[in-house]
Amino acid sequence: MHLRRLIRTAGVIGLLAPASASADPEPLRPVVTRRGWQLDLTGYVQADAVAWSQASVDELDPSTGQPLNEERFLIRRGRLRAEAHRDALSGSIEFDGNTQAGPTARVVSAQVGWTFAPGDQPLAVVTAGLFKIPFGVEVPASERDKPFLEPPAVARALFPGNYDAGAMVAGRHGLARWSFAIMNGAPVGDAQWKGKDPASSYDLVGRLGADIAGPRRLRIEAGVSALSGTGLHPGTPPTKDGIQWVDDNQNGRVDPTEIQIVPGSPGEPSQTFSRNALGADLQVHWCLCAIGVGSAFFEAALATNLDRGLVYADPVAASRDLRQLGFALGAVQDVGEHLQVGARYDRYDADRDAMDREGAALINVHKVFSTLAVMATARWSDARLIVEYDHERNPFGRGDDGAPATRAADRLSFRAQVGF
Amino acid sequence: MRAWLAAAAALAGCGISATPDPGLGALLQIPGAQYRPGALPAPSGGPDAIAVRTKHPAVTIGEAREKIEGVLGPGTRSAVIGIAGSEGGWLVPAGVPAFDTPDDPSVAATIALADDFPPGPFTLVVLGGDASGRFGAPATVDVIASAAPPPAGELVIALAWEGVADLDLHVVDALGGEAWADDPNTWVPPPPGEPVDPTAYLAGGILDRDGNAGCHRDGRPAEHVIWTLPPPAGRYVVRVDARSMCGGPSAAWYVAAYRNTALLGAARGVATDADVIQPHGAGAGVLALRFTL
Repeated sequence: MHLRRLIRTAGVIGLLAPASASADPEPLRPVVTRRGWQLDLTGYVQADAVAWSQASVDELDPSTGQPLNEERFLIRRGRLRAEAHRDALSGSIEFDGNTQAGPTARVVSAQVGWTFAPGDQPLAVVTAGLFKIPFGVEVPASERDKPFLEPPAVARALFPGNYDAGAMVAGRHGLARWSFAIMNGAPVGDAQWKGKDPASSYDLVGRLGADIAGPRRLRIEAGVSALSGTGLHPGTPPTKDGIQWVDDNQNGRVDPTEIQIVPGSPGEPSQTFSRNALGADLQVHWCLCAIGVGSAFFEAALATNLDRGLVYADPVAASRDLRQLGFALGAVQDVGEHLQVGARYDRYDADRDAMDREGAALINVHKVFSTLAVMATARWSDARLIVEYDHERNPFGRGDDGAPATRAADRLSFRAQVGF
Repeated sequence: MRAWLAAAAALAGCGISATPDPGLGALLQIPGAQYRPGALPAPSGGPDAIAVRTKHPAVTIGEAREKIEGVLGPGTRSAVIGIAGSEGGWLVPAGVPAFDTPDDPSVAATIALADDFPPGPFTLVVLGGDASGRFGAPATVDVIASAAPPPAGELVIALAWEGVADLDLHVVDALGGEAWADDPNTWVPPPPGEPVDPTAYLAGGILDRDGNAGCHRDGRPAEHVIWTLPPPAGRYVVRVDARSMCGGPSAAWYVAAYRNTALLGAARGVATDADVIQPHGAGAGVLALRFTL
């Protein structure tokens, strides 16, 4: 009975992290029991080394003053997670420490839950707190199990940080899988609001999918996701009168005609705007018995005014809606028990209606980010050593023809991971 | 290793990518433009640049002020700006035609010469590129790089430092008057009730600026106390006060005193957080220099 409850609990946890369901089930761990609550401690450490980066320069960013060097050792993630269960109730909290932008410690996830499971499968798991946004497959997946080092650009742009606070109902019955959430709409990695919700409205987000088992250990997972929410354009406070000097004749001296009055201005209220997204995902899992298991995946998202990570979408400031489109596709294959190889291509257009100058004319351009990632992983028990080469294209440079061009940003990275 | 990987990246189909180098080590700098390392492009059948000019015949080293304007041939999409015979150029998109040359794209930029730029004449070069990245014949203009003149005066006491810190120069003259950021003249006005000579203030040493005031960073922070009239004879004291480190770990400073451009004395020091907790009014600061006229 006790073992059965543990297995059911493990199934619930797997449901809360849909993408991790594709990983091998973890063995049961020793647990601490107190007053009927079972406490389970888990964690992992990811130590990264960026061995070579085209974008790395021993210089400071002129605009931010931050170092531009990228070739370094760092702790990408150090996670410690405590999960407690008692009958249908559950709770968990997860801490993260990293040195990505200097030493940082933070709560990355904290949630309470209640499970309704009349049969073998949880029909509904109600969760409240800080958890992963249930959109698509990449965003809710556990970083512990992801084969590639970092998420594709579309996930980093639309759902920066992956986590947001809210309440969620998730469940499954037969082939069907569902998860629906009402959330703040301020992911922890939001470039402007840093996870603090600026508007009283909520985002509605969810995924409806199916998990179909085929012959010879073939399995197909597919789903559609949607998001509808509200963002905030920050207003401005009233300003005082001021003066400005423009050195018209460039003599380095203040002449009477070069002083201009900058009149004070009234405050401007903040404004809300709507944003939404649609997504689709497909995964095919197989087993080549002589080699090992493998999978292929495709995920795409179409969004409006939702970029909160790469090219911040503010339609009020831009005086137009900003439309995004991105996708990722790839495959991963085990080669024996201790080796895994894979490749992924992702492409993200941050503003499908962007304009730029080409010569004397204004033309449509696309702020496109794309990455071809090739990786190989050696693994033993709960340890992994990953080497990955990323060939990246971005819209940050300018070419000899005057048009936007990629600023070189290829890199070779290593990751050593140990889970416990 | 790095070269091998770069070559592998090129073979993988990267093509030519823009450099992430911000170009801060280049002798010529153009804020906001894309740095282009290596030699300036050779003419390869693209549109010729027609003309380029600066607003002044001389450009001051260490200042980003001089504007250049140019006219490019029809069909030009980009312009590379550089110095003849020097590595590194700056890429800017071609601009809209000027009113008097309606068929020719324009180019405009504000240029800066790095601190280590050698004084003397140099040739500024502008090349225009077409949509295929081919360049034509360059347009050039001869310019003179001149060092920034030191402040003129009978007696000049200078403080210069590097970094974000807000330092203040304090100078006490032979008559006991002190010039610093909150009281920028050593001249002491007469007591109330006595007549005031409207030009008497010119006899004092006057502070010319408050560098990095309020942690608003200057490009090259410096302060000077300047006597334009013969200074009073006697003993002078120079102090450096660290008002705030503004987030910086330390600030190395240099103080020098000049009498009619002849060096009287100089001193160096480092300001740290320990200096910030001291008082900051009149008489504040660590002793940097003491001399007698």
